[in-house]
Amino acid sequence: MVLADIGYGTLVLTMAVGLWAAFAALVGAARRRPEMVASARNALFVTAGLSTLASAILLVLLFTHEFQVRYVYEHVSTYLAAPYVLSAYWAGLEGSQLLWLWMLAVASAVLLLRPPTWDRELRPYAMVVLGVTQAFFALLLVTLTNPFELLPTVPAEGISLNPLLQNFWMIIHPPIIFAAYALWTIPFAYAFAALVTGRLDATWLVGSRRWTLAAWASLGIGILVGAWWAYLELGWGGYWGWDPVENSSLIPWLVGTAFVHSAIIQQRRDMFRGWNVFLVSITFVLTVFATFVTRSGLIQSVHAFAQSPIGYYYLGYMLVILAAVAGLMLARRRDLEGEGQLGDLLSREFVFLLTNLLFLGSAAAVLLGTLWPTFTEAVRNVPTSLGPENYNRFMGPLGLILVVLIGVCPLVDWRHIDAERLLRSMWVQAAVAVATAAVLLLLGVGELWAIISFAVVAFVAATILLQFAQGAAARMRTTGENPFTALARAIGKNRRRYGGQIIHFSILLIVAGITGSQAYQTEVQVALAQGEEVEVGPYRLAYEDYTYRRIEDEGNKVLNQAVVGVYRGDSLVATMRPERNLHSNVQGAVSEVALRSNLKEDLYVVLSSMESDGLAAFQVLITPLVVWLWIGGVVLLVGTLIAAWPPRREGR
Amino acid sequence: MSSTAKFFVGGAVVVAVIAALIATSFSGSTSDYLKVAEVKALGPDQTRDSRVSGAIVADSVEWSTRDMHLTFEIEDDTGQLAISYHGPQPDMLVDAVEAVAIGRYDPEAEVFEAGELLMKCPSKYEAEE
Amino acid sequence: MTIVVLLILFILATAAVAYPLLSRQASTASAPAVTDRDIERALRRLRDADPSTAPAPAGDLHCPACAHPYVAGDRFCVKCGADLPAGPIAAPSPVALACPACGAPLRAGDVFCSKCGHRLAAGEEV
Repeated sequence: MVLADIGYGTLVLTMAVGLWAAFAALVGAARRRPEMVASARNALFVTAGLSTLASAILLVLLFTHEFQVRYVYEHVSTYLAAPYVLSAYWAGLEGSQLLWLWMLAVASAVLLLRPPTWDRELRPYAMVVLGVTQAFFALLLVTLTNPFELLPTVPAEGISLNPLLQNFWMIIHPPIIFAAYALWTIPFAYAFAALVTGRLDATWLVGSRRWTLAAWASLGIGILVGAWWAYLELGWGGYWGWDPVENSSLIPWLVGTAFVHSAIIQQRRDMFRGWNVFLVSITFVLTVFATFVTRSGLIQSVHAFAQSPIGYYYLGYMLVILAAVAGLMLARRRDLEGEGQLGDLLSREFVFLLTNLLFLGSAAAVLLGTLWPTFTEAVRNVPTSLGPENYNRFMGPLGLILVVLIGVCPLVDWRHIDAERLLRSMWVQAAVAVATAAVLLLLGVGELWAIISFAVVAFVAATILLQFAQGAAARMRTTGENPFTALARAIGKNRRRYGGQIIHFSILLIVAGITGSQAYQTEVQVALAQGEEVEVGPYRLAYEDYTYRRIEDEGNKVLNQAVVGVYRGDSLVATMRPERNLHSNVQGAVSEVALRSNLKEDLYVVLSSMESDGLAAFQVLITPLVVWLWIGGVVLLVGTLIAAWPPRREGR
Repeated sequence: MSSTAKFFVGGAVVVAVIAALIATSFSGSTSDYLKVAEVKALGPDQTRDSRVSGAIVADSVEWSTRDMHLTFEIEDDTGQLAISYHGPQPDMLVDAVEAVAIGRYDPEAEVFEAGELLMKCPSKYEAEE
Repeated sequence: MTIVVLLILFILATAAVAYPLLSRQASTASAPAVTDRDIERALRRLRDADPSTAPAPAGDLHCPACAHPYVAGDRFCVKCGADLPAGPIAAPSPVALACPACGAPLRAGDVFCSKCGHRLAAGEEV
């Protein structure tokens, strides 16, 4: 296979050129030889080109069904639809790592295309990190997980993509997540450069801020898209199961969120210098850890470590980074002391510190929970697992305190505030929260914790809306603009602040969605013969018809579809068609959920089995407010774009 | 007290509270992974769920749509175990696939009553393994 | 075939990496030491130091942290952002410039908003 060999050769070259880039950048920076730095820059352009070529070759192999290539054989088939052939690129460990490499190489090239400005001194050292990381992933691909590995024979047909992955959201979920992982490399690279050069003031934070925001937002949105996929495809009515794969992407998000917040403190008050370097380094290491967990499956058992050396590669790389950061931080401990002084306990500084500790604490807990079976197996030979209820027990309270802090923080002054003044400034919000709780109680909505959660959301929403109103009102007074112009201009004049508030608002929507869906889900499991009906909440579901059909051109898929009429009173509101299809490539049945979604609740129908006479078992769920999770994701994206958009007057 | 000291004391209290919360969350309803033989040795008074996994024995799967009741057997290197489960039929229920059952063992009936079933293969992402 | 393609790739990569080392231009194209930002900063420092453009001292009030003068009603020092002792509220001076965060009026030379402590971005500084 000429093409596969070329692909492999390209990866070997990428590794070599990446290493050269790191070496040349280091020498160029340390010895002040700009021609070496220029060579490193070119080398990173070359790795971008080479990894693009490798990706293109893998895609060509996938699309031309070259089944002699093991990766192609395992992930596509002649009957797999084109969009899924594309997604097969990142469906396995090999392709995922290639995607990581490619995304990082492209991001590095984009960074290096612009001439250095604020980062003239830092950039060469940042390039060292970029080169080493690219070389690391190329090394993995070349030695252990070669996507271009050939089989001794040429199979006539491929295994095809796991039907669970054949979903639109699973096409876009991995690229977003891996883009986020790759993007986190850049703020880390600048933190490393700041450590090496000793320029530990806020310059590196300000300069890499947009990369940080891009990384942070894509990680959050990637997680939400993954949750949406799980909700649609896994057929159990939930969107988050605290499994290691999900956890591994949440942990860097939590630490990254702590970093995004404490970076603000350093910019405003010159505090937390070392803390910020620590946080961004940990975030980066955790993204590497997440890649490793997601695709290797090694986390479930310590014994799996013995089967493949890949775990040692990842562990080694993470340890090297941590050791380098720790050593440099020790050497630079003088420069890590900022000039800012701590304020009072009732001060915005302390609220930020509290936020940091809560994010870090929850990240540590989720990490511990993810590794728990591995630990317990290592210690007493019997792995012990944690269920979702263990996670919910700490994430619930910690999350709610964090949400409360979103609402309190803008009211607390820097340095110091009187308790009395703080309390006086929040009576409106408190009244809104109490009113919300009272209304929910009067409506007879049960679940105390859910009512508390909604009250907290109302409290914080009031704070945020008040800030928008005050900003607009102030402009109306000084400029005489109409309310809409005033609001738009107030936001436009201070995108960072209002963008952040919009992001906070999106978190409220997500929290409301989580609360509603966790507290008030209704589930009915029922077996129906054709013509029978069942009442679920306000709906009446009539099992009207069924289809049983063999679909040859999709690889002998056998389609089982039920037709369910959904009535409210006597009027038909929807016809739903849940499916349960037999896929011959995996020799198993996979459900395709039927979903009817509105702002209030989702009606979710799963066909759990069907007999040849049409007798069918259904699982019907009514999940309130779940759609607000996805709306929150869109708002989060909008808020980030507003916060990150370059100001018009900046002459850069 | 200086503001730095106050910050450290305040921070330490917060860390302690978070740690305590996590510690209490982790104790309680965790479940042990057991081998088939270990499950069979369990007495009637189990205080927490166990988790047992094994390959589904060929032709042992029986499913009643009307009752939404599933029975099958799994086996590992220590023996075979009958599993009973009420609820929707899980996806990918195929012979030889690794199944994880979470629940309690009934020594009288010699059946493991599973409250939750997970199919290990194919994993969420990988087709092989 | 494979060898030929890889050889071409190898040569291209080597050429791209080696070019800056061989060409003389790269070593002379050293970076300008001063950026626009540095100039802006220096100008601002001069402007702040110049008594004719600095805000006129109002009364006898001075920031306890940096001794910069402030007017009654300010909660934060406009120079260093420190808290100011509370006093009687004064009517805002008639200016058109407003803090983008809270809408409070601003005076020339302000780096922090005197009402909410918002740090004014480079474009907003007056």
